[in-house]
Amino acid sequence: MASSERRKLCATLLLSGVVSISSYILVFTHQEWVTRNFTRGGVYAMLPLATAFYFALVHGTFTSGLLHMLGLRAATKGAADRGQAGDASREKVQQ
Amino acid sequence: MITRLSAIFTAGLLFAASSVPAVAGGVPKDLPPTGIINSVDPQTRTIVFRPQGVDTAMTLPLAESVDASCISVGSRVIVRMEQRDGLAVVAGISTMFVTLTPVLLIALVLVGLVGGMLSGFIGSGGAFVMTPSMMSLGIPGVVAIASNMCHKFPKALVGGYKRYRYGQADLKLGLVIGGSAIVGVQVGIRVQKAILAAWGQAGSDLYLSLAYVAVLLSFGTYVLFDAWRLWRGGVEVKTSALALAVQKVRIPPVMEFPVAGLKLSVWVTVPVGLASGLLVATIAAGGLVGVPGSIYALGTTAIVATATQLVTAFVMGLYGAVYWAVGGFVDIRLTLLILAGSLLGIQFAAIGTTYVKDYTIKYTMGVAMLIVAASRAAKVPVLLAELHWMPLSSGAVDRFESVSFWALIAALSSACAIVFGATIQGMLRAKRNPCACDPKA
Repeated sequence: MASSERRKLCATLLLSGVVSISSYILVFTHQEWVTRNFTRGGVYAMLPLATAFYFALVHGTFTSGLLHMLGLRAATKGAADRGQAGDASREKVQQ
Repeated sequence: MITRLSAIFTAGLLFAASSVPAVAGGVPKDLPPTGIINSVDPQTRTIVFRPQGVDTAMTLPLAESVDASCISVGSRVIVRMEQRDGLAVVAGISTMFVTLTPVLLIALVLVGLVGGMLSGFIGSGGAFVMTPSMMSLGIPGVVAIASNMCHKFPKALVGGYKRYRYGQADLKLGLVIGGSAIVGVQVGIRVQKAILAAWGQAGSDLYLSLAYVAVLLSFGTYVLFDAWRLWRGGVEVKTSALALAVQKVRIPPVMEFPVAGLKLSVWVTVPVGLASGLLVATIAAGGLVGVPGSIYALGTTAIVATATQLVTAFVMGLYGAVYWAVGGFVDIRLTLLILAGSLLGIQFAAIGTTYVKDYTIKYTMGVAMLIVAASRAAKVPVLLAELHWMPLSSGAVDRFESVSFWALIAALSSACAIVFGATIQGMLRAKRNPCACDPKA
């Protein structure tokens, strides 16, 4: 991995890690308020849904970066990075 | 990535909100009531209960089985009502929010990790593993289902997107199957309610266990046999005769599914979606029929089927999450803890799928399905005894319960060991010989 790429990855990992941990601390230090308001039902349903989505983005970015830093990367990295579809999957149809 | 994921989330949320009648009609009526118990009168065996969102309290009689001295006053509870001699009585009370101890906290993250690894690798396994595990940790069943459902859609979104980037997930096929799966969920809920009304809780549990055993045993055996044939090397991966026949159907609308490399009539995907939804409502494991359905009935590869199932799981998860959140049953603390583990597990497993061959996924799925089937089969004599259809001593009940629990633990451990082992082995092989890293090679 090039050093500039590695630096960028480290920064993303650090930032998403800090945001993720801070968010977890924020929720768990305000448990009572959170559980009371997030289970009101009706339109308040947006609160747990949006929170779950937010954590998926932040924590997902962190775990993705962590696996990448640990050297755990997909075998078809080139295709993956370009967002190209249908390499492994197409073998079957051509039979 | 964030922009794309946000767009998918918004579209999915609008879709789910427009299709869940609960949003328009307020809190769904068929969910158990929650609220606060203001006081308990042990003499008259009644409680003063104030339902959530209502200002006025009501007095409710307690069933004989409820111990009045154990009822906590002032905290939020879930109340289970039953009809006894034409009168509505309180048959059960459970505290809604568990106290999070360090042990429970770590256990929930681990449960999430295991569920995430299974979902990422075989496209299923989150709910059917996580909900019973959460209930074993002392979380009320309805909160465990709701909190798990709320974690399912973001997890499936992250995992599905990851596998889409690896060129494995067919978004279009997943969304089409997801549409009919929602109808299947509704049908499944109605079937469940009818069984509950006819045979009670034990009858409903027996039906669930028998459904588990029948589905998992039949599909699991076939999937494992297919994996064994491919592993032996005598047979090449080829489209089944059923799938070839299905692909010839041209009833409009016909759609092209680019990642799967198929051109199918939308109608032929409906049975797969309906069966997935039915199983989600019944045993919370739509992928166990959705994945084999996509492979053997539609003709996708195992890798595409498991990845596409994550897209379907996102649609169904979002639909279910809206339903439970509108009812106010999601304990976000539990959702976030299992999400912490499952996001790591699902991404690790997604990477793992790029190193393994088709039969490894089938093999993992088959093993997990058969051991879970054994776990549920051990429950059947216990439930038959509860219905007084079979005599069973209390010692035997304990032994069957123990077998059921340990079989589930064995299913989880072996599936995770296979996923972990196959991924690490694939990576090491790729390091030694770069050409061998590609599963297509």
